[in-house]
Amino acid sequence: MKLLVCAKQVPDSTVRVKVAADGRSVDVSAITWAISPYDEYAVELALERKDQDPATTVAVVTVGPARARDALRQALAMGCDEAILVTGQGADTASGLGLARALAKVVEDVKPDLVLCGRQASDDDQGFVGIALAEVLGWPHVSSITKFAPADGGTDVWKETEGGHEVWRASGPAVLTVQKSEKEPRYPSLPGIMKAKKKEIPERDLASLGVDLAGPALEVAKMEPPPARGGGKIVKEADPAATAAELVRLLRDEAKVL
Amino acid sequence: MIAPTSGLGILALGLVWVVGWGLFAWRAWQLYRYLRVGRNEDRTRYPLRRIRDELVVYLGQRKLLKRPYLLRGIAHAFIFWGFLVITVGTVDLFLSGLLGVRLPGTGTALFVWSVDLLAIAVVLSIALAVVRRLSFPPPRMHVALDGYLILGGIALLMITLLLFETAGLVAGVAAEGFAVPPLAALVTAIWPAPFPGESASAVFAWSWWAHLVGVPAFAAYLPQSKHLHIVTTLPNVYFRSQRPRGALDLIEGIEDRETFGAGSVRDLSWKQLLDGYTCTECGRCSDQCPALATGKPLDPQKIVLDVRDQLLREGSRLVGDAADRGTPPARWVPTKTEELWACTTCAACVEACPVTIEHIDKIVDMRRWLAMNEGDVPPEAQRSLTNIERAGNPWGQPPDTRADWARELGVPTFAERPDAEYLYFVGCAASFDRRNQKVARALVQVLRAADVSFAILGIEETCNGDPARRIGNEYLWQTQAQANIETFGRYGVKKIVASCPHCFNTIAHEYPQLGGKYEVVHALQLVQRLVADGRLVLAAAAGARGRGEGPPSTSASTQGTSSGFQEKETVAYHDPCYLGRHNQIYDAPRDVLDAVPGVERVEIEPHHRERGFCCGAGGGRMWMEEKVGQRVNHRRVEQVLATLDDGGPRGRGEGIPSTSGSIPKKVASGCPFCLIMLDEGVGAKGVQDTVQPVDVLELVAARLPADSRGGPE
Repeated sequence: MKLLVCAKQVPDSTVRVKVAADGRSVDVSAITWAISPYDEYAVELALERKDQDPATTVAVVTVGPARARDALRQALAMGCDEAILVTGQGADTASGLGLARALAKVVEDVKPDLVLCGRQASDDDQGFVGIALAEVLGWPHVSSITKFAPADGGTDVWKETEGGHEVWRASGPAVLTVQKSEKEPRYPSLPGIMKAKKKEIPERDLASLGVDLAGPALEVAKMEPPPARGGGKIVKEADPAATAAELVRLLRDEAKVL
Repeated sequence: MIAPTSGLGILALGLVWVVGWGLFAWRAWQLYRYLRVGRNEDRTRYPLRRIRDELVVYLGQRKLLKRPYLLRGIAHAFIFWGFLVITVGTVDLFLSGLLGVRLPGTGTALFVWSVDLLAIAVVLSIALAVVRRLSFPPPRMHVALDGYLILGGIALLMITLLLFETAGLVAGVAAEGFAVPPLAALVTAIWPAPFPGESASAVFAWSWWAHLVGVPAFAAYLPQSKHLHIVTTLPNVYFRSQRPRGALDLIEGIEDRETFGAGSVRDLSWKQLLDGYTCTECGRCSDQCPALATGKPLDPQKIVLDVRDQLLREGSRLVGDAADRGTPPARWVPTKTEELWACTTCAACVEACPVTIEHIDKIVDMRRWLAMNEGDVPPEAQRSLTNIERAGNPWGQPPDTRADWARELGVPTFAERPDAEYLYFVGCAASFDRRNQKVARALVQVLRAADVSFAILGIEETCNGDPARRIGNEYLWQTQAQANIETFGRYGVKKIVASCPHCFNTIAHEYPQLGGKYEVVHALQLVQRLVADGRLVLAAAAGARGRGEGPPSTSASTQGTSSGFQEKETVAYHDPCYLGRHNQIYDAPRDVLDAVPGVERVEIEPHHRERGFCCGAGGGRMWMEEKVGQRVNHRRVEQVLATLDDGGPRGRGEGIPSTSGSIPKKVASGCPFCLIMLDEGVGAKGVQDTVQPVDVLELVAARLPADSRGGPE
């Protein structure tokens, strides 16, 4: 089985994001970058398949600026077999639909049996590219999956639902968008990191794919950080009854929520 | 006595000794060859210290003559000293039987008396040991047939010795010029004919032979049993680690290696394998282990014995085939990884071991293999490692908020004040954990009051790497350490003060492995010095209250995280493992507490100083879930309560309503992780009104003269 994981490099979740001077983008001057968490789960899911069936190969692709190479290195260190970087003019400004069109070209070359994407990227939370990729390819798509396994005549896919899951069967190639699962993405082993450091990552010029990078006429108009939180208040009186009474008084008279 | 040997007897004696000692030598050679499959490690530096250790630990039996094992320690010491002296006597007897020559000095009254008195002491000690095993065996001791065989064998040797001396005296075979053995003299004085008829000569000959055949028989049995420690302790003590105890071994050339840590017994050093041969299965390490005491699957004695058993089972295979790597020690038994991850690296086992076995190094080497080769780390711990990698702190807090705690105090950074004498290495806990930020602020106030010139690195500081190293990710530790060393170098840092024992330990003892050498002190050592030099003067905490806590309201100040300080208060001191056992800093914190006006210091009996009980957070355990057994910090809080609780107001946990406005006693530590763990334990037990965890620095800061407190909060 051949698997292709689409990954996106995003600001690491430990970074405190600041709005850039233009008021409509993120200040990227001092940011630690990482693979988007759902994409990391997608890599993990693909590698678990490889653990069970060593004949499986896992490729990982990203479209992005040159720094996105680090995200691919991380995926290689985790155990992916190959990585493809699509970069060049427009790689960090392409629309979601444009990204999907570019990824579709890579899919046509790699010819995977399944494509896995995170269900959404943690920077813009659009959850768009995976679904759009299925649309461009004309492939079926299942969202929020936590598990997949080969089955008679195709692949069984576990889709998370409210309070349970559904099992879908894909009879041919499909795009799966991956939900967080119980199994945490693996920590790369040190030999894996060292091997990944030496591995060649082929680069493809985005322009050479000849796709339209524009998308629907939408743009970010404004970005604002959430308002700063005020200090909390600890209510503690002489005994629990008095504490409760004081709390009710505060909620009614000061906060006016009762 | 004149030896009862002649003709064939002499030949038989020689033959028995050659066979017995031959069997010993053959097995010893085999064990030595197994040992050599271990990796090389130079343990020869500091020969003078090593000789001193032999005198103190081996000859002086220092690690045995200690509570809580004092009585059995004395018994062991007599058996050991008896063994040393009587061995000389036995060699003398052998030579007299074989060649008719005597060793010089064995006829003197001093020697003869020593042999007899020690032989009696040995018999009594063995009686004690047998009674103890039969009627009140120590909980963790591995009581097996082997032990009785050994005790029986030694007793037989002693009894035959005393018997042939007495019978020989009666039979008139005393050698000329030899002092009369005192026990024989005493027995014959009371009872001139202790043996019926003419049997004295026969009794003499039989017991003499039993003694002289017993010795080589014992020698042949020795290397098959745990009693081999009488041979291996000598080198095991000599080659003990002379690194500071808190320092782990460096993996050199880590970028060029293919395997890391112990993927095979071959990857354990020969000294670690020698530890296995030396273990006497006494169980002292296990008795002291906080993980085992609270129901975890870890048993430090088993860690050592598993390595030994694996070596004995795989040894001949590994010797025969250089390509064979055998089983990874971390996979020796299916539950092994759970054992390994349960360790807090508190060093209670290392401290307790009478034969200087190094348990932690083995556990960390096995963890290294799991963490770096297999990437198999408990998921929560893995998250903290990823956080260190990406954010420079295990909490995963935004790195640019690292110095927020210091902003209102206006603490200068080295960039702002490059001529500062001390670098205050704040550490992640005091930088990001709200409770410990108060401790950092307390230290700043104290240093300012004593007019110490210091600065911090601000957001240029990054995790010292200690949790990564102890979890087994040596690579991440080296990365973190190098980053800090580079930053220190950029500012020409020479002196460092740390309020966290983990920062202190790794910077002081482990950074030198990567070339970072500084004068490092823990904050409480510095404060001790400042008090002693008169640079820091403390006042009574009259009407004292927590700093920055608002008005001194009666009840608000008794919450777990606030600090209400009283004029007089009882404070129990909790030894952090990385100050105490790992660095032998027991007195500085106590001196500081004693210098704080109004503090009455108490010890948490019997778990203080060398026997301090871990809070449960060391060895990366802070970052792992603790689901099996009782939580270590809860056990520690129980011990603290047992010391402090004098029947005063109890907390909710005991079902008795708390009395508002009551004054909690305090348990003070010098470690941010101990503080977090004690706070959690106190909260979980609902005893906030009985005991309040604090850092010693907070007690000091609350007694600063009003004019020197300085700086807004």
